[in-house]
Amino acid sequence: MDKILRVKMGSKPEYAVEELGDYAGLGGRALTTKVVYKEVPPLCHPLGPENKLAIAPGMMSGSAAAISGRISVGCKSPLTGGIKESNAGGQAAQVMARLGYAAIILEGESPEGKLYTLVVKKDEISLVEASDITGLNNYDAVEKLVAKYGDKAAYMSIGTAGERKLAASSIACTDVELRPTRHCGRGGVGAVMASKGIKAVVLDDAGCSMRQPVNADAFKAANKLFVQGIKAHGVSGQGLPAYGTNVLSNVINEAGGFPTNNFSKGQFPNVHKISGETQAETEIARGGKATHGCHRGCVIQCSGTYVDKDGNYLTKQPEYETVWAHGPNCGIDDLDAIAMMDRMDDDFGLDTIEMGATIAVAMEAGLAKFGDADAAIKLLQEVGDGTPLGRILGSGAAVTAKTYGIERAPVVKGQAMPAYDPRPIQGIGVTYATTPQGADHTAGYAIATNILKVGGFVDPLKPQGQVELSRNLQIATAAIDSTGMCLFIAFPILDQPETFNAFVDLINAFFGLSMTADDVTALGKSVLTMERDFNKAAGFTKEDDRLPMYFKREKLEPHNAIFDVTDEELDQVFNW
Amino acid sequence: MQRIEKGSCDGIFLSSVLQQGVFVEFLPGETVASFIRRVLSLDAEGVQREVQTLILNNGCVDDPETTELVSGDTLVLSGAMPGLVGAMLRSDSPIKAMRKSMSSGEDRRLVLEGRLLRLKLFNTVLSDHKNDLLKLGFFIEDET
Ligand code: SF4
Repeated sequence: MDKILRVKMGSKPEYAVEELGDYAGLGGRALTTKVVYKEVPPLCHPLGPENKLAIAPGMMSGSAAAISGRISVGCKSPLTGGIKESNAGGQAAQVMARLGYAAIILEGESPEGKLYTLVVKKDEISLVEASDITGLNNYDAVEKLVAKYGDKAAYMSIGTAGERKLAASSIACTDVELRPTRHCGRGGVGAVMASKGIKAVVLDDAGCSMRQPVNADAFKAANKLFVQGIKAHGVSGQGLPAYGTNVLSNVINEAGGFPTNNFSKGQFPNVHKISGETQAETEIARGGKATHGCHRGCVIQCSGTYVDKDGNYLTKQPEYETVWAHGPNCGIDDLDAIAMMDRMDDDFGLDTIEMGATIAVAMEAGLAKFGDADAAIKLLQEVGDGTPLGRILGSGAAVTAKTYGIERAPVVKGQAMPAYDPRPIQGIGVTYATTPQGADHTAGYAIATNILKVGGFVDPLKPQGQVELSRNLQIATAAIDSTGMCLFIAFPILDQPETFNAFVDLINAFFGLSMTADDVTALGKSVLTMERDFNKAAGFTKEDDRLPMYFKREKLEPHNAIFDVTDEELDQVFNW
Repeated sequence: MQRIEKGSCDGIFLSSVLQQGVFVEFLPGETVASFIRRVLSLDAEGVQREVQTLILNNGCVDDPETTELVSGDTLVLSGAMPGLVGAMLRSDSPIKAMRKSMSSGEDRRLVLEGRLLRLKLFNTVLSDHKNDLLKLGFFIEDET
């Protein structure tokens, strides 16, 4: 990964292959954030020519390192108006890294609104008019692309939601089966790709080889220990492969933090009908798969294949966030309907969290009844059809709430909250409020306490406050997001010191470094600092680091909790 | 209430009722930890390894060895859960401060006669221990 592909769209689209320069040694979120921070004017319109879309595989992607295939996309977000990093699995990161690109940067503006396919091969780069796939949704577009460019390539594409530049639009990445099921979902990145005039990116690494470590023996040994650690752990070795992330539904519900009917309740009575346990049993009974990796080289395999009642493929196994968003948050207890909406989101190119939250707001506004799955599907279809109502819904929960005069929009910085109510689980509310990304669970998802412990930053034996924990977890997440490793490695790293050591050894052996946990902490801090500075220059103030006021006012059963972390405490999160 | 015996139900039905909760007898003075050891036939190490998430009446249990069961309790036994919230829900999690507004929930006990509690199994505890519950025998609510 020693070069950057810069594609300049304009009346005459052109490209240049550049050296890494200032971006050397970075990957994933660290790289996309630095590009946006350095090159994008913070006050630009997200869909204007001054914005840029940076696509970067993780530092370890394209190597034999286990589970290293996450790809990051960064830009100024049309949903939040701030900086955005959105990452996904699928094959794109591995292939792009093997092609040698640390980043592809799309800049400028679509010439006359035309869309192009960017084709990147070992010795050839081309921009091809995408008239054959313009107007198609992701499944049809990818099928045509595969027929043209083959089944060995990886594909990134936008659906019609992206083409319409909707603020909830995503960028799809193909999985191992060449289905467009892995999405850089959050923040409207699909709209930015459309504004650059790119409908799809074809990544073909024929003739390229795997990235080789500097210290092969040490790398091999560390990778072996790392994989052993992942497989030995209860979460990454058993729970996630068996049930996927939706295994959380039952337990979050039991803890009273499962947002139901647009965050008006903390528990959903029919949770057992949509739980991960029931989902896996349904998939297996129908001949689907409950254990599956989103990219080659994943040794956890938290995904699966959801088939309909007749055993036909419908979608990939919907994740916890998706099941919650389209299910209990809308009062819906029908797994088939939820899977159908997952399929529609993937096809139109939409963020499942934002769309579920938006439909719940629409239900509160009286456009449908909570629990009415058919009505929810119809609302989503409006987005696919591009009707005026569909365009409102596709602009996200905040816009929909404003349009219909609804206070209860569960958003921070314009982005919908994920599947944990911040009243009983206030620590996550601190992260929702303060992350530069807008309400986001992955910012603070990684429980890499050991990283911080080794760095001398936190004493895990001392009781810590929610603010300190949120800060440390955000730092650790920013660092892991830069490696290209899936965040689910965080569990074995937390619980098994030998797996943490193997993780650090793996990175060091690959790059010939002697990085310490202090360096990891410093990397995470530098990413967050750039993100905060960008947002500040874009007009964000500390008042944007707040949850909507109703979370402080409306008690949530069963704990009758409100969010009572003070503004002063929230303002301390980035005080390092 | 109906009594469910081994052989009287299929796997999916069993999984569904165990997720919704079944009624099980506990012994006088039994703590959460001793109940788990008895019912799931695990030693202390096995409990630590397999049952890392304990929820009692919607609150987390951080000291299962001393928490005594009371009639009408709802007890959830689960394997370790993914994610930040999954980690903070674990017993005695190093990041339990993040869930400090979860109440302990004594006032949410059910009104039940005798020494009965409602038991729910999730995640790998459900797949690995459903037969233990069948062996033990349990009650479910009559369908209304
Ligand atoms: S654990 Fe899940 S999300 Fe992570 S790489 Fe594997 S399949 Fe993808």
